[in-house]
Amino acid sequence: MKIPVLTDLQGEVNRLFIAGAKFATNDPKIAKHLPALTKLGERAPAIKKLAEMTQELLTGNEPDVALADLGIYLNSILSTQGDTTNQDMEEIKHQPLIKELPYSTAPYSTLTPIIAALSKPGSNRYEVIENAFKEEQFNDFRLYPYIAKGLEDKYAPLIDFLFEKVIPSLGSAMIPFLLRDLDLQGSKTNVKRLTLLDNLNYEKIASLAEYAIKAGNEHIQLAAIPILGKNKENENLLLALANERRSAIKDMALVGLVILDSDAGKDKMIKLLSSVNFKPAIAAAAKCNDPLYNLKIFKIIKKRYDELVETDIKNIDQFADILLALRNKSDAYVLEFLVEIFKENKVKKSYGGYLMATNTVIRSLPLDYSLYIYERIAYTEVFKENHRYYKGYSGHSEYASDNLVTSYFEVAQARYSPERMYNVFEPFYSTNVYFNSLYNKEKKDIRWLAPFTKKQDITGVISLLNTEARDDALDYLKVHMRTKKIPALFMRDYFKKLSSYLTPAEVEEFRKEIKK
Amino acid sequence: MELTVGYIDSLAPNPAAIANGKALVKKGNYKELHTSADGVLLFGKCSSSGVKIYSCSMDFIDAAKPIPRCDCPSRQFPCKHVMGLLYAYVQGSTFTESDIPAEIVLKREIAEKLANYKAKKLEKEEKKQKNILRNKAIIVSATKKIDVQLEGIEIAEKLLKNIIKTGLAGIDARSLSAVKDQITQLGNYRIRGIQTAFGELHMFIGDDDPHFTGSISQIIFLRALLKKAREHLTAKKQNTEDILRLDTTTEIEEQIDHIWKLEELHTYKRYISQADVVQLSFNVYDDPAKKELVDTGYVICLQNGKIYTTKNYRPYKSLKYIDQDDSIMEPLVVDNLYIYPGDGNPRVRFSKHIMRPWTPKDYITIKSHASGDFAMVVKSVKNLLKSPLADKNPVVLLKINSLAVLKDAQNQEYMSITDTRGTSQLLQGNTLPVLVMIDKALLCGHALLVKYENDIHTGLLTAKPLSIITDDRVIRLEY
Repeated sequence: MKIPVLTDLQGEVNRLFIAGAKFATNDPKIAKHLPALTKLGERAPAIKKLAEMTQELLTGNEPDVALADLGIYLNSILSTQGDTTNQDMEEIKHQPLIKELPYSTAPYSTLTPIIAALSKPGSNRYEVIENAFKEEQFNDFRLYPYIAKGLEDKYAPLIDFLFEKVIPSLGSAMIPFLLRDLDLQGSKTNVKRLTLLDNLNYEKIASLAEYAIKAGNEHIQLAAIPILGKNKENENLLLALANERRSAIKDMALVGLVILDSDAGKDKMIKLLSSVNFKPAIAAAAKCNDPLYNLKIFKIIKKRYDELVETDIKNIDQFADILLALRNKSDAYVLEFLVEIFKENKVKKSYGGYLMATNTVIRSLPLDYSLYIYERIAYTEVFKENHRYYKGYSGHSEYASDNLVTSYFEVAQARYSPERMYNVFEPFYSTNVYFNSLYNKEKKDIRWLAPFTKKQDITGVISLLNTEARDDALDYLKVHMRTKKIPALFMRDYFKKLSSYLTPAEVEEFRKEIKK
Repeated sequence: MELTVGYIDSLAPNPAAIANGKALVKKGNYKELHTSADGVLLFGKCSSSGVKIYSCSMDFIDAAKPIPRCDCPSRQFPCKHVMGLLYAYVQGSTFTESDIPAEIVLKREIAEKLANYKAKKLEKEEKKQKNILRNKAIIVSATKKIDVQLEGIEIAEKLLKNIIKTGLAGIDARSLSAVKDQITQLGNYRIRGIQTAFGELHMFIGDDDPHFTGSISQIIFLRALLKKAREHLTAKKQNTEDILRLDTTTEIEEQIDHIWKLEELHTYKRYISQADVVQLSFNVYDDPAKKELVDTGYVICLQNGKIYTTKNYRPYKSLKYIDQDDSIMEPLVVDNLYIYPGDGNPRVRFSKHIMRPWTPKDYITIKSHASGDFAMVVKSVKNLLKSPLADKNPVVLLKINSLAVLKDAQNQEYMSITDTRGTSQLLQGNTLPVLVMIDKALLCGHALLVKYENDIHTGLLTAKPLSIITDDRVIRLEY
């Protein structure tokens, strides 16, 4: 129960603590409360004492002592006035979203490093999060608010890890936390929240997406459109959005219509793809899996290609963009067309970006189809020359970041034997094409030892320590590391790699031997 | 011998020791793993990152106070090698039976001698306490100490008066520095507690808070403390019989200068033997004024249902050398639970304890101590808050009958819990956003550990939820 005169008096007492007790004598702002206090004091002895103390402050000889004592007494009274309910609050429907409480008995010492990694800047955070995920420590509701907030982190790899691994692994229990932090007018992080809500099958996602189109900013609208594309009732809304001026919205609305399998939407996409401003239709065309419309898309692209080769080769970079519409299409005529491109010498050498686009289309296909194409083009001139140009285009977001040879390597390792891998890719390796995943592969042809040692590829030689070439590899490493001047940083890295293949004692012995 | 991962984690001096210990086992660094014939000693040899091999052991000869030993240079006890040894044991690594190494036999003998020496010393101390009043020199010395303290209090009072007279806004950087010098001088008068409270005031004044909220509260606290300290010391000086007796009814001794020793608490019979204790909540708080971290736990004694506080003070400069406390998830049987003087949730300490598994009865016992009469609880909380020297955040167990979710004009969510008589209690705090999402079935009919907070400005006495105690578990909302 709040008594206004007491809180007002406290405000004035605090003012005097700030201004100084030297101003207390006959202070008018304090004095004006005295009559009210005296009146209240007639019924309540505690307030009567308060009135006396106030009087002492105004007229006494020691205002500093009087002020402090009044402060003590007033605080004591106010401490007994606290209300345990608030009548101004409104009751809302309790909608608990956590039925089964994901709860662990992890102690403070386990939880706080994870919370710190999720909420404070600092080094080594990614490793802490990754390790906690491996140890299954995230399945504790006490961490959920921090995980949800972690999506706003400044370190992108950490956000991606939470988005791709952690939150999906926790499932629908994360929904209330994502909902609570969702701000439809906020930063791009909210796109991730909305997407996660969709992926976690939030039951009201359809109405939320509809609301996001009305009330959200452009990023949110773009994320909401594919969600709307799951419901046939939204066709007209998406068709309207496909007429938007903003190309990003138009682009995504067409994607939504294609997902919805709307004939009107697909016609719109084809019309747009045939026009000069075809770009907003590319993503939708790539998503299309209607055979009839796929043929229409192919015909448009083939026509452009023929024009390009015959008369208009300088526009090849623009053609690279429209080529991306063929992604995810594994019809026989598309496969043949992709092979045909590599046999055309006019596109040789100068058009790295165009080849990157082609590679992106090939990588979008099911593995065996990709492999079929790579095998047919692997020895063409265009293919061999390609890795020279790839660096300049690696920053293009729509293109696959690998070049043709490394893409072929990645695809082939799922199907080829170690011997065949060596036969096919050793010639590329000898011309300085490096395959990062070669080092991680469990089974390797021991013939790799020769090219590795020839190129002094220490990481490669170490990766052979779990093969039959182990002894030869170790001998080479000992001689190499003893005789060559290797910077300490690299040396540490090599020893770290060695410890994955050797026991601590063997590493120690190795260390001693190279010191000899 | 039965060990659990939870128990081993609780022995760790810091989180890194847990991770490092587990890593040693994973990497296969343990060259030898042995156990003694009676099974109370685990020992082994562990290779280091260099060429050295360390001999480490954990001695459970006294199960309530196991002794870690290792010849590595680490200052942490137990070190990562001992932690790893214990993890290897619970993970099922093979420990072969072997003779106890000679150096451990020797160390055990030394430990036994030391324990005998301590017991004799305690006995002597008790005798000394009994005869102390006959020793005039001690009384003279105690009187002198009180005189010095009263002199210090007078200086402190002058300092406080000056601050109040000048006003907080009138203290510029130069005068703040002068205040600091005067606070340093208080160190000469054996009033360490008062000096620390002034140190806090100095820190609050130096803050950028334009409303000086912390400073004003601290001035009020200091005025009350100085008044009570003067009364207490004057009364003590006048009564020769009481001059050496420490006040165990309030915290005043500690607030002036005294640091309680377990032996003293023993002498004053402030302990419960064989206490069954359960930690219900834990957190670590930073106290920049005192430049220390405080590991704070709230424990319930199953025998009397009272909630006590455990505190482990870790000054910034000694963080490396003082083990951090941690959440304890299993019940403890404590040899002697020493209780510090004080109201509300007095501080407790214990040295020897063993961890035991939960039984269904434990949850029923804890819940039976939860109060179903919120009005009574609030009355006693307000009584505590009335005293300017008391803890401002008492912790209690409440029994929830029903609950409601509320929102204020700013759309901020709150929860209100109600007892069987229809009295409501508003909850708020950083744990609330999670609590409002939990199904009613996990809350109604169960106990909730809460920490009270009175906000004079809003006029609300709210409670922050810390843990839920159901029929089969303790759900911690913090740690």
